[in-house]
Amino acid sequence: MAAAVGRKKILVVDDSETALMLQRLTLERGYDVITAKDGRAGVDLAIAERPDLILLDVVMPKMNGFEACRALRAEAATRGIPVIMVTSRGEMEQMEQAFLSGCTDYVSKPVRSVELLEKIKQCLGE
Amino acid sequence: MRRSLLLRRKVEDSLEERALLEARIAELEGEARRIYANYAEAAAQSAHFAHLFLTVQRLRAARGREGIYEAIRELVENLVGSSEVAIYERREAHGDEHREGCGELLAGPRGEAGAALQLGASFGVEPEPPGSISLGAGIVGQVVATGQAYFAEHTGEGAEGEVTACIPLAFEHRILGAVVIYRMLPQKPALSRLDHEILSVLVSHAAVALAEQRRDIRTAARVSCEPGALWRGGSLGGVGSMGIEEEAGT
Repeated sequence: MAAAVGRKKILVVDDSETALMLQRLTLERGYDVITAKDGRAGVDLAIAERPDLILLDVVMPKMNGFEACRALRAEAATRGIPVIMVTSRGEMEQMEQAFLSGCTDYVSKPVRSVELLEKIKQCLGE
Repeated sequence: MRRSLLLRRKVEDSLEERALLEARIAELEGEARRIYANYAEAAAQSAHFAHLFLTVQRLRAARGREGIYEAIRELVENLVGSSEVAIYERREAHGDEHREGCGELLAGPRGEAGAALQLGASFGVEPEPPGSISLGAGIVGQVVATGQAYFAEHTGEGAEGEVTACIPLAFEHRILGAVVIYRMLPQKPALSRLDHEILSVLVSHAAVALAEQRRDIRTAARVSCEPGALWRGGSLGGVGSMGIEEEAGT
C-alpha cells in the first residue's frame, strides 16, 4: 500500500505476531506502519527507511531490543530517531537498561493504546 | 469624595467580573475534564473492541497445535498482562484422537476413569506437578472436571507458581482442557472486567481451533487405520496419502 502524503512513518520491531497486529490496529489510522520481526532486521530497515519513530520490543531473537537500540544510536542515519522501548517487565532495572541503551521513552506490556499514542505524539512533537 | 465613590464602584465591578470569570473558567475546566474523560473512555472501549477482534483474528490464523499454543501465549502476554502461561489438554487413556479415528480398532476403557490432563505447553513457568494431572485433582483438574473457571482472589503479582486464573477450554459441551495463568506482570496488579471478557473470547476461540486440530488428526488416523488405505491412496497417484501425512504432522 502506498504511503499517504504527509503522514509520519513508524517502524514497529517485535517478534510476536500478536504485538505487530496490535500496533498496526492502534497506529494505522494516523501513521504509516512498517514492521520487522527481529532486532537485526529492525536496524537494517530503520537505516533503509528512516522512519520518524521506532517502537522496539526488548525480548527478540538475533538481537534484543537493548542491543538494537545501541546499534541505532551508533549509526549516523538513525541516531536522532526517537525510540520507544516496549518492556514486558516494568521493573526499574529494565527501565534503566532501556535508557542506558539510548531509548527516548518506554511503555510496559500490556500496552495501553491511549498511553502509547500520547507518548508517540510527545516524541514526535505533535 | 465623589471620585472616591466612583473608584470604589469600579473596584467592586471589577471584583464581581473577576468572580464571574473565575466561575466560568472553573465551569470550562470541568467541561474539559468531562470531555477528556469521555474521550478516554471511548478510546479505551475502542481499544477493547480492537483487542477482542485481534484475539479472534490471531486464533483463526494459528496453524497446528504449537501455533495455537503460541497464539494463546502471545495474546495473554500482550493483552492480559502475564508471561507465565500453561495449556493443559484432556486426553483419554489411549489418546483421544487416535482412538476416535480408529473407532472399533482400539479396545479398552474410556471415559472419566481413564481421563487425564496432559501439559500441552508452558511458557515462563514450570507447572507443578509437571506432565499430567488427574481429572478433578487440584485447581486445574477441578476446572476441567466442573467446567467452571477459577479466578484467584489475590491482587498483585502473586507468588511463584500461584495460579491467578484457570479457564476451561470448552467446545460443544465438552471440556478439552484449560488455560492456566500464573503470576501477572509486576505492572499489572489484577485482572479487570475487560480482561475477563478477553479471556472468555480467547478460550472459546482457542477451543474451536484445538477441536479443529484434533478433528484433522482424527481424520488422518481414521484413514491410516483403514485396511488398504495407503494402498488405495497409492493407486490414486499417492495424492491421498501425502495429504494425510502433512495433516498428521501439523
